[in-house]
Amino acid sequence: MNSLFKSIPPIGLLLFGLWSCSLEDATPPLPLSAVDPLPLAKEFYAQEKPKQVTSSFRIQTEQEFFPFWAGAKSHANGRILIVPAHRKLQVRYEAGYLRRFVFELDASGQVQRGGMLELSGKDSKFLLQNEELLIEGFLAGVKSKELTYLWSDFVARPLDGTQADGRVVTLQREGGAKSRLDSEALRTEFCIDWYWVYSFNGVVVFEVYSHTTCGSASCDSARSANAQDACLDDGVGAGGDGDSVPYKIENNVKNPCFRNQVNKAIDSQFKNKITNLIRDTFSQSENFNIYLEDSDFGNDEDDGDAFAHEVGGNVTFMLSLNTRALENASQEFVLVTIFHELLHAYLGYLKLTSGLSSSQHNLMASEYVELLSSALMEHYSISKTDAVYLSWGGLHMTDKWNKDFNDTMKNQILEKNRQYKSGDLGTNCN
Amino acid sequence: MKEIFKLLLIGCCLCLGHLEGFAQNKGQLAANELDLVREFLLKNLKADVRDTSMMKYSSYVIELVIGDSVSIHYPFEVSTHIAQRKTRLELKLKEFLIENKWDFSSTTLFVFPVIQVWKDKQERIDNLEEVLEKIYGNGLIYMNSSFKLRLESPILIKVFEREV
Repeated sequence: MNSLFKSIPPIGLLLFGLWSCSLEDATPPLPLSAVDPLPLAKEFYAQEKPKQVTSSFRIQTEQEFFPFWAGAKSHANGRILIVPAHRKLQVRYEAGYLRRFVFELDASGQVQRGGMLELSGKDSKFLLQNEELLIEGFLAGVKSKELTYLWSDFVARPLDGTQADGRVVTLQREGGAKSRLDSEALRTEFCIDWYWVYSFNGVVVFEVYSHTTCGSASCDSARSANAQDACLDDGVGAGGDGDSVPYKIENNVKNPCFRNQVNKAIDSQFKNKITNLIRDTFSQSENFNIYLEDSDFGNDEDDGDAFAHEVGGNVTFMLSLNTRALENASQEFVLVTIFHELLHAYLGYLKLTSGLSSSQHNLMASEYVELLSSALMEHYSISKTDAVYLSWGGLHMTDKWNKDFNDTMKNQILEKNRQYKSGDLGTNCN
Repeated sequence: MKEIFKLLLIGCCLCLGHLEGFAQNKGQLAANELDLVREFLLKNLKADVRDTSMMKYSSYVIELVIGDSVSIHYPFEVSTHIAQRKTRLELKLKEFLIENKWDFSSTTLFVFPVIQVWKDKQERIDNLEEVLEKIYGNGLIYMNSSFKLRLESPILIKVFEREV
């Protein structure tokens, strides 16, 4: 009986759809179908954008977005033109996300309105598969209660954030130092967390994390409106987006530079073996998770540490970075520290699942120094020697350290670590 | 005319998707409603690994008020590290409850004692009795609660040895 009731809506919908589609034959095609909406939309964009305000905080931080005209799709007999959006920054989205430039034309071929539509919720696959339906629905005032809609002008100034349930949404940032928002900082090291903030009658009723933007050299070609290789918000991670960081690897690091290094270390764009080991292991294990944070350990000797804890069968490897010890450290030193702690999580996982018994540092010294240095070199222009020396950080009490190196060599390695830790060498992290 | 039908069709598609999701989750909610909050905490509570007291056990109480608003409170003193995670935990709880189609029409106060035990092979002082006294000796404070109240069984967090 239940299945009978469940089958009624799809059958009804099918009949309704067939009825709707069958009208196609009876209705004469709109004259608009003969008009190419692309040049009209381009003209509208070229005319309107210079009139729009360009000093919004969001534009300053996420920088500009450009239509990727080559990816434009005409819909509804040329009445709607949907154009993917370039951006300049690397972005990690928590949920499904799609950004499109949308142009709506009337029957005479005039562009009635144009702007940027952001859709968030469900998953990217859903949004991509239903993009035309969702956009057409939005333009007609039909919205899903399960999605968030934000309509903005060409410079990301919000025009309509009204949701299906009447709440109004805006995107707001959290954290970060406003004073450092120069373009160089944005491109190289600055990461910002963005939240969807929902209001009702002007009162904030809910907020939820949306995404993190970080500077990116690889997406910078979006600065040219005609770039073909910029980063597209197409929901599938083309050109520098990457799939989102698995929820099971939770980055709760507050220091923006440290946080950025964590994101690098677990970013699937990078193909080094340590990143792959971590992602493969922790993305697939139902009950094993990683949580990263930064705090003051009360000493400046331990750069980071790793604990495993278990709650109701869920094992979390809690990795911490010591803000006091890393206060002046270079990016290279912070990143190798993170890789070191991530390896602790991986070896801890092996210990719990396969009874690994040898000391983790001895195992790292004998098996993982090469992988650590390669991982570091994937991210920074650093010599092989320096990368290997940094990879020995924290492994000074191991059997291999004592066996392989004489005192001169040990001192060289320790001195190199000191120089990168104090910021005398490497890329500034603060 | 055709446009009207198409818009209605879009509306139906969106509503159908929403209703199906609601129907599926509504069934689960009845069976799992009370387990959901515990499930959330089991996945999201984190140990206080900066506890340097050398005691074997530590404990605190976490209160979750779920209704018109969703909030987390610690009725007794907690460490800085646990306090610092409160806002993030609240945000995640709200998100989790919405994802799981929680019925927010009535307000319930969930009270979970949390006990952390060190399993790190260090010599630690066994203070279990004091810890139990701390979390259960204060139970009377909930007698006049204006919310529907659920006093839950403790959540145990085991912390293993530190790797530097």
